[in-house]
Order: sequence, then structure tokens, then C-alpha cells
Amino acid sequence: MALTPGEPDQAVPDDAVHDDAVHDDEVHDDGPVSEVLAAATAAARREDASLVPPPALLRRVMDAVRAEPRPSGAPVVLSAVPGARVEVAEAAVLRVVRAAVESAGDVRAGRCRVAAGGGVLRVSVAVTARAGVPLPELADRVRARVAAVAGATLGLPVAAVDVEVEDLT
Amino acid sequence: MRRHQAPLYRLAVRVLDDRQEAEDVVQDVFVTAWRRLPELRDDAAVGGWLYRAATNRCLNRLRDRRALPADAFEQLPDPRPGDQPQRVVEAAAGVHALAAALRGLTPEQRAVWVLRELHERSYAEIAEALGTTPVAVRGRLARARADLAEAMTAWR
Repeated sequence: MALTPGEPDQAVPDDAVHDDAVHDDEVHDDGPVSEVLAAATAAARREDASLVPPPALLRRVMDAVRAEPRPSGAPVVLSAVPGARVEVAEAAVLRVVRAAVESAGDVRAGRCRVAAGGGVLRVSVAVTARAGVPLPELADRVRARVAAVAGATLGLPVAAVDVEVEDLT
Repeated sequence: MRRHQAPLYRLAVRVLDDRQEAEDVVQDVFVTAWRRLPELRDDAAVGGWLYRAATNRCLNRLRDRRALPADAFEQLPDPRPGDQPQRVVEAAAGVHALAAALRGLTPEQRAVWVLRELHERSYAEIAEALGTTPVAVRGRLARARADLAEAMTAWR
């Protein structure tokens, strides 16, 4: 393509994908769709509508789920002093721990286990980390946050935080 | 789960082009979701999480498959039974050609196209499912459409 000398280079191919903005009006902004493709897409939609998962699938999921260990739900004892006993529901403790984990940033908390004994709290947590973040450093940050937040909120020193990175996102 | 399993199954069937593998993916997604129930209480977020989990698993399987010879997938049954009205036969043939054309796309393009065109997900939802940006989704969709249109023209 020939440009007039001295003219600023504004030439953009007609079919270029404009990457600079995504407009709200997606339906009309998608550009023309080939007729043949549009017809096949519509046919595929109709075919999908009558495609149902086999009943055995639901059964297999339920079987797998039943085989999973049930969460114990036993309350966590924060203080066993007679007359000043403090118990917190496990679900509440898990909530505190998960929030602490996620406050470290770049990470989402998954499966989580807590155990209180001997006056300390032990935590193990599976996390999904943001891809590209150095994992040892992330694990350290998670540990520090859990120790600080859980320690302050529950009043139990946190003796261990095991971190399992099970996925990246 | 009953509400979500059909859409996820359809997504996996279209992206993977293999019902058995689609069943495995859906089962895996729901078992994982069950384990994570405590953090999936927010009902509005569940749909997005499920789509993301299913899309990721499909993409992983497609990437694993690349190690296999291409002719390992040329196993679709002929979808044209003889006693159907012409219109239905043509539609089925079109879907068949579309499935073949989809196999020519990259895993990401295939996922983007199916999520947008068959599942009517928004660019933002698709971007979330793929861990990318709406702008990138837009680019991949345009590319997928162009490639599919070209493949379909050849079919006609």
C-alpha cells in the first residue's frame, strides 16, 4: 500500500481487530458472521438444547461426593479454663483463616483444615496462586498473614501453617 | 448441581468433541466444587466458578491431546441417517462440518467461540473463565470466526 510521502501513517487494515476498546454493545459489535457459519451455529445451538447429560453422570458425582470424608465440624477450643471456657465453631475459625490467607494477595484459599491443641493452632490450606508469583515468597506471606490475623482474632498462637499450592490462575 | 450440569456438559462436549471425556470433566468439576462448598456459598459466583473450572479442564485435556497423532480424533460417526427430512439432514451436516472446523482451531479459540456463540457468555465472563482480558477474548473470537467461516466455505 502506497502512502503519500509525509502523510502520517494512519493506515489500518480494514479487517484489523481493534484491541483498544471493548464496547458495551457486544451483539452488534461482533462484526458480520458468514451465512454458512451462522446457520451451522444456530443448528448447533438447537442440537445442544436437546443434549442432556446421562443420568449416570449425576449418580457418579453423588457416589464420589459421598465417599469424601465429611468435615468434622467439632468446635475449636480457644480456652479450656474451667468457668472461662471459649469454644468457636470450626466453620467460624475456617472463615477467619481463609480471610487471612486471601489478605496476603495473589492467592485464593481452597480446602482448609485447622486443629487446636496444646494451646496452639495448626493450619493447613490448599490455595490457588496467581501465575507468575514466586511461590516460596507467597507461602511466606500467607503464613505471616495467618499468624497475625488468626492470632489476633482467636487469641491462639499459630504454630504451623502448611500451604499447598494446588493450582495456578 | 442439576441446574448447572447440562450447560457444563454441553460446553465440554462441544469443546472436547468427545462425550466420554466431557462426562469426566463435568464429574471432576462437581466433585471439586463440592469440596469447595464453604467458599462457594455466594450463589451468583458459583456459575462463574463452574464455567471457569470446566473451561480450564477442557483446555488442559486439549493440550494433552496435542501429543497424540491427529487422526486419533477422526472418529465422529456420520450424523446423517437416511430417513430424516432434507432440512434436518442439512442442519446435521452443517453441525458436523462445524465440529470438524472447530477441531482446526487452537484450544483457546475453540473455548472462546463455544462460550460466546453457544453459551452466550459475556466477554467479561469468558475472560474470567480463561484467565485473560476481554480485549484478548475479542481478538480470539474474531480470529475463531474468520477461521471457522473459511473452513465452512470450503465445506459448502
